[in-house]
Amino acid sequence: MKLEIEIANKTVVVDWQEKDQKIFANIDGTNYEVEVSMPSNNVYTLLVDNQVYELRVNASNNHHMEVAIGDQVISSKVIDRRKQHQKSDANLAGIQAIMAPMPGRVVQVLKNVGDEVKSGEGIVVVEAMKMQNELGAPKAGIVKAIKVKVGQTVVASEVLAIVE
Amino acid sequence: MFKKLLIANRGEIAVRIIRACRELGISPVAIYSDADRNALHVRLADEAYHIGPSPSIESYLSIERVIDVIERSKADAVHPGYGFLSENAKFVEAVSKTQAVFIGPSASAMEMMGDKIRARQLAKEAKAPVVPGTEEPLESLAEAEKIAQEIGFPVMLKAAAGGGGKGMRRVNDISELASAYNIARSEASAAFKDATVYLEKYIVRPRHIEIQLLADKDGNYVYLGERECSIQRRNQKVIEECPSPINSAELRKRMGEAAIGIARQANYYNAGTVEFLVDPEHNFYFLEMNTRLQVEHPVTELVTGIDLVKEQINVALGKPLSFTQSDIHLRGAAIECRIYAEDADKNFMPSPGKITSLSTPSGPGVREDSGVYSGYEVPIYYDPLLSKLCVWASTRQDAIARLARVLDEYKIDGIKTTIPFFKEIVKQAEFINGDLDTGYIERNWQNKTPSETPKKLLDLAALVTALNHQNNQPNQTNGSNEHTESAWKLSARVKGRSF
Repeated sequence: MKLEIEIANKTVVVDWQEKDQKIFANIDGTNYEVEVSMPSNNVYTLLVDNQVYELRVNASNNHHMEVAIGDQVISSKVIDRRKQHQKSDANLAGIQAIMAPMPGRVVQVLKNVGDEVKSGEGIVVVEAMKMQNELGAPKAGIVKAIKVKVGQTVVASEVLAIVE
Repeated sequence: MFKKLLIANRGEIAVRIIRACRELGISPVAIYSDADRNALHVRLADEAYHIGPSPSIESYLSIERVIDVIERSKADAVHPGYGFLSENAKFVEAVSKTQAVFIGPSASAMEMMGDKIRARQLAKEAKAPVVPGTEEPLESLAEAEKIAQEIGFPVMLKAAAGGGGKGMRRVNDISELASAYNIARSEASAAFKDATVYLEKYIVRPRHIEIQLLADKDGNYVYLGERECSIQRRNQKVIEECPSPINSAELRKRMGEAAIGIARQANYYNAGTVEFLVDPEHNFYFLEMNTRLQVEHPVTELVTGIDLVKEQINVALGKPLSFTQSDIHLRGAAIECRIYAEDADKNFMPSPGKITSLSTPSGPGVREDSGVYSGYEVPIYYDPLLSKLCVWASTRQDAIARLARVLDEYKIDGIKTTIPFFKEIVKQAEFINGDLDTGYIERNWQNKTPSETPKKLLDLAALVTALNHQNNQPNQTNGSNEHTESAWKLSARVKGRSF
């Protein structure tokens, strides 16, 4: 098997095969012989030269993951060649979405559709766990859409408003 | 003994109180909002009553609804925990009209201590030190100069109507006073439409140290040592320890006696905490009194061996304290970390959500007071405190080593928590040396440089990313997206590997 993984701002190739209950892998040019077990879901206990490494995976989907190892939490991404062409859509035409950084409840909507906003100017206030977060315009422009109402609960990464 | 005790709270503190009830043979009664139907405190109680929608203003903060449940459940005691209605004198009065006993101080003592100006006056009457300053608004610059000279620089100008740092100015010497006075007044006027300012001594690098008190209804008072709570973010404590790293018996005695003096002024009974600021020369100044059980009470319990919740219940029953001041001895050192659902790397932003897996530390000297479990969805509506992780050891140094060990054992997935933050703090020289003050996090965390990850760990993380991706690929043979077992697990099982 061979996959390209984006990790710590670079792309590495992971090329591996399974033989005699071991994984033989070439990762970013280095060869490893690894014994893998999964004591529970999303937990991988690796033995490499009798050294124990426990890695825990938080996957937001099957491509974007956060891997915790020791004190480190490392973001990683599986590069899907089939979807490459869609990649650069986000910044087209200067349309910017304001997304909820966390789950919460909308407590204030500060702007209306059509309002002009400066970069960083507050548009929506989301409250979670007694803390309010004012979410501002990522760029100067016009508020094109407000997608939420006061009192509504939102999930992480939900689009709250659009600025163009 | 009480027969049935209603806990007017949620989360870890409700669980803590349920545990005391169980050990005393009292039947615990829980209340819950819409969001808390699956909460741990509900699962552990004998009876549970729904009290309303998720926002606390319509549930845990509703005196009317809580009183209704007290009456319906026929509980004979009510423990308020901390937060919510715990320092609400109107609630105490409302409980007094039911069949149940309120576990805490009298409504009048609560009211007196809740009024910050009144509390400061009580402290002065008790001859306890308060932060030197003006009680009354400043009439003129000349008056400001006179008072500032009297109490000594640096001083702080504060807006009488103030809050949020508006109208606040630190003044280092007399030459800065005139301009600072004018700026503070104009800021205060703009922010609050009230230019009134007053003046206080500015305490440089203060420690936050508090004294735990217990008092019975017969007027017996004891202090159960101090807690150092200087490590704070947004004025909220994150690490507390007993004893303070200062660990001076002489200072402890002076602070303990000052705290008792203040509590006596209000005829205080039950558990309470008197908070002080302590300057680098170990002068201490009264800050406020908390008229309830404190979040960080476990560190006092670990070092004194006294169960504060059980003592609270005994006092509420009208029993005298079973010990005197000379029976109180501090043994060893305890440290508590508040595990919050917050991302410390993003300015402690809340991180509610589902806990996908949880594995908690055990072994020598560990105590965990938790309100969560694996699979639990942390709601967005309440305080982000998930759990309090405490360690005890015979010395502070050993306790820090133990803390580092248990933090490494603590695994929680699905949400961000303050555990990585604590792992960093326990390695810092200032913390290890006990060189603490309330500006600690600002100094030592916000400027933290990210550490470099060794290539080997990055490689293994890349491998696990690839394996996990492969494992969770939708089952392609039947075209369905549902799959209960990963490809990796299945292939391993075929080959006889055990999991």
